Formats: sequence, structure tokens, C-alpha cells
Amino acid sequence: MDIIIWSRLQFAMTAAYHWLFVPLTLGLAMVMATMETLYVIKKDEFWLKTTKFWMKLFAINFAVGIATGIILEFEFGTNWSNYSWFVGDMFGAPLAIEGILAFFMEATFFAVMFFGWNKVSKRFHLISTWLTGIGATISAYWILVANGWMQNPVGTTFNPDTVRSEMASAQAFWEVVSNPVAVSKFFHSVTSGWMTGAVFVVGVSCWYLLKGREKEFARKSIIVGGIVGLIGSAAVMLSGDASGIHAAEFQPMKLAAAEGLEDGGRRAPFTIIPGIKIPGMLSILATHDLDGYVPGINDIIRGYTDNDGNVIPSVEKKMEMGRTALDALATYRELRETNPDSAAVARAILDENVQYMGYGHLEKPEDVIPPVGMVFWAFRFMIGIGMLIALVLLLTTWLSWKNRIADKKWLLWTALWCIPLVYIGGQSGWVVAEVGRQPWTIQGLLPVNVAISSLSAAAVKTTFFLFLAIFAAFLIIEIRILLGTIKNGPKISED
Amino acid sequence: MLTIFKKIWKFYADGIRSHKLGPPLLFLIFLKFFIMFAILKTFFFKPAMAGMTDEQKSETVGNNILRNHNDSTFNLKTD
Repeated sequence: MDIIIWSRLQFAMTAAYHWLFVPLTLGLAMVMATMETLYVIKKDEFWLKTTKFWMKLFAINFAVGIATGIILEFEFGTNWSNYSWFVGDMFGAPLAIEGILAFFMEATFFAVMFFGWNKVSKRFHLISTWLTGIGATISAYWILVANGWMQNPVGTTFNPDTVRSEMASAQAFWEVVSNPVAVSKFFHSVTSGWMTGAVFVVGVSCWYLLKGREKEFARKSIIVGGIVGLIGSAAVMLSGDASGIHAAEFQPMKLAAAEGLEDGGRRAPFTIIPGIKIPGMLSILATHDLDGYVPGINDIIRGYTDNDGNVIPSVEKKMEMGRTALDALATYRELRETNPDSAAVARAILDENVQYMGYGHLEKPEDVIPPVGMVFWAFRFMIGIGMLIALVLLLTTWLSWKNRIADKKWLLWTALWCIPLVYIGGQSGWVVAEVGRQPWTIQGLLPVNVAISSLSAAAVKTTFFLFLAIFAAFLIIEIRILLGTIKNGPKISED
Repeated sequence: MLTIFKKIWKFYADGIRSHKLGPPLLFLIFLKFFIMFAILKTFFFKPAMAGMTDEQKSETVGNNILRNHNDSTFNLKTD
């Protein structure tokens, strides 16, 4: 395998590892903050002990997961140096805000939350618990602003002198932070985190019920976790709908790949699994209109007219414009010192074609097609698992509310098995988002083969296996500590 | 000022000591930071353009972007 594959594998592994910890942090924070709110309102010691137990599991996850995202930044600088420089101006602000917020909010309020039980007032402690979760959520927003920009690079202009995408004004910054792709991605990712936290709480509680332990603790934890999870599920569906609309608008190839749609059209069907289709459903999902046109892979290659009447050029045409942009960039760089007038003409040609600059690096139109099979099945895993989990959360919450859950062994086992499933669902979502946008690191501007550093594949391979060993070791440690703590239980003597 | 820092330090230290899981988790965090910064960052993840000025970085990335670009059919006219 070559350097690009190894670098991509390494980045994917690190990001996937990071995403094991983040959703549980986001979700568990909501669950335990709700529980602590119940404690402050009801003044019931039961909720205090319950909150403290889930907080302990939150702390373990937080400690093992801390700073795993920084490794991604190492990889940017070493493996993806062209990309790193290209986006440096644009990523600087969001990532700096994220770093400062993550550090100050999480370090401060996490400490008050975890260590301050008898040192600050109940209300201040409760505020700190909420702010820990809110801090992590805001922090996620800035990361997703950066990611959203890579999917839909708005608000920036390419500067041929610095060879960077730059934000020229405060207005540009606003365009970047309010990028619709970033906003829908934020809600989708964060609320899927709520589902993860909820499934964890419900699954662990079901294990206690299977063991005949901590019955009241488990039942009430399922109700709180289940309600958070159901709110999360509804929000995931709504934000997923927005994501579908945005994919159709900004990344139609990703949508076509996720559907395995070779030839599109109006009243396009949605494929549940190969062979089973719902007529017109894809048009509704992608455009909110039964007669909406959804382009397939071949249409995108050949060029098409979108629902607003815009003529979208063929990939061949985009490649031509991309090559024009690259030629203009080369000419501009060559002449900017010696012949400013000609350089200005080259600059104007570059500006005219720059949105397709990345296409100039492609060898053939088919290079814009991502791995269809992987994206297609990841999309189905994500949706299928999400729907199963919403159903399990609904049933467990309802039956716990009615105090009839303890004898439903099949449901308790299903809820327990939903813990690994929710992670598979979340990771599948990222596969759709990231594999689905191949070959681009930045949509239309920079393909992966140009974003990469000049390294040897052997060097990246070495660090890949090094990471694999380190990540596996830390994950085993976390799971062991988590399981030990769960086994000990909250020790609430209410049964 | 020193008193505030002492109070903050005591708050963290007492907090960590008072939890059974505090010391092992803190050890894990330090171990991870050591592996990340003292080993990985130092020996395996040197920035590819370390030591370059911004102008040199622009030049290098510009060259890299144009390196694979080989267009035999298009001639840019700037006159």
C-alpha cells in the first residue's frame, strides 16, 4: 500500500478512536446533569448517589479519552503538511477557540464537578456539572466548523501568494461559523452523542437488572437515560434530514454513493437494502419534494441541471477548469515579481476557475467516485442501528416507567448489546461523512494525493502500528476500569 | 496571588486524593501525555515543514501543489 492509503488509515484510526470517547462524554454529561438537577430539586439523596456513580464512569472515560484529538493535529503537521498549510489560516481561529474553551471550561468546571461536592454550594455544583457538558458541546462545535468547511468550503478565498484559503473579513468568519453543513453536522454529531450516553446508561442499568442488583437505581437510571436518548434520537433524525438536504446540495456524489445510485432522476427511490426500494423516497429526503431531481453517479460525471435550474458542468469540464486554475497559479507565481500586469491577468483567470482547482489534479472523471460499497453499507448500518436503538430506548423507558421491565429478559439483553451497536452506528456515520467525500480533503479544492507530505510509506506504517498498540492498550485499561467500577456498583441500599 | 494558586492546587490535590480512582486516573493521564509528547511528538511526528519561514512554506506548498500538474494541452495567455 502506498503513503496515501497508510496516512488515511492512520488518520481514520485516530479519529475513530477519538470518537469512542467524545460521544460518551457528551451524552453522559447530559444524563448526569439531569440526574443532579433532580437531586437539587427533589433534595433526595438517592439522586445524589446515582449522579455520583455515573459521574465516576464519566471521569474514567474522560481521563482515558483526554487529548486523543491532539494526535490528529500531530498527523496534520507531519503526514498532511500541504493540507495543513493550505487550511492554516482558516482553521486557526476555530481550533484556537476550541483549545481555549476545552481547556478552561472543561478543566475548571470538571474539577468543581468532580472534586467540589462538599466545597461549593449545591447550586454552584449543579451549574458546574451543566457547564462541563456545555463546554464539551461548544468545543465540539468548533471542531465541526473546521470539518464542515472541508465538506463545503465557504467564506474563504484562495490567496496565490500564501497558497492558503484565507478569511478576508469578519463577514467571512461569520460565513464559516454559520456554514449550514457545520451546523447540521454539529447537531447530528452531538445528539448522536446523547444517544450513546443514553444507551450506555440504559445498557449498564439493564445488566444490573439481569443480575437482580440495584433494581431501583437501574429502573430510575433507565428512565432518565432513556428520555435523554429519545430526545437525542428525535434530534438525530431531524439533523440527519438536514444533512441529507445539504449533501444533495453541496456533495451530491456522497449522496449518490450512499444510495448506490448510478443513474438518478425525479421521484428517485430510496434503497432499504439491495432489492427493496421505496419509490420517490430519496427525492423526498434529498429535496423535500417527491418530484425533486437527484443526480446519480453517472449524471454527476456527465453533468446535469439541478432543481434550481443551474447547469452543473461535467467532471471533464471541471477538470479542464481545474487545469486552467493550476496553470494560472503557476503563471502568476512565475510572473508576479517580473511582470505584474501579466501576473494580474493570470490571477483573474485563477480566481475565475479556482472553485474547481482540485479537479485539475484528477487523472480521469471516475476519480471523483468514492468507494461506493463501503459508503452504501455504512449508511445502512448507521440508519438501521439508530432506528433499532430508538425503539429499544422507547420500550425500556416505557416499561421502566410502568415498573414492568425487570422480567423482560430479552429486552434487557437487547439493551445491553446496544452498547457496542451504538458505537458501530456512530462510527458508520463518520465513514459515510468522510469516506463519502473522497477523493477530497477539501471539497473541490484539494484532493488527498496533493494534501499529503512527502514521506515514506514505511514511516507512516511504523507509526500506524505504534498507535494501534498504544490505543489498544489504553482502551483495554479503560474497559477494565469501567467494568470493575460497574461491577462494584453504586451500592445504593434501596432494594 | 500566591494564596489563590495554593488554594487551587490544594483543591485539585485534595480532590484527587479523596477519590479511590483519582491517583490511577491521574497516572494514566500523565502516562498518556508522556507517550504523546515526549515520545511520539519528539521522535515520530516532527512537522514536515519545521524550521521554515512562512514564505518558504508558501513556496514549498505551492511547488507541491503544482508538482503533479502536467497539462500539455492548455497554454495560458496573459498578454
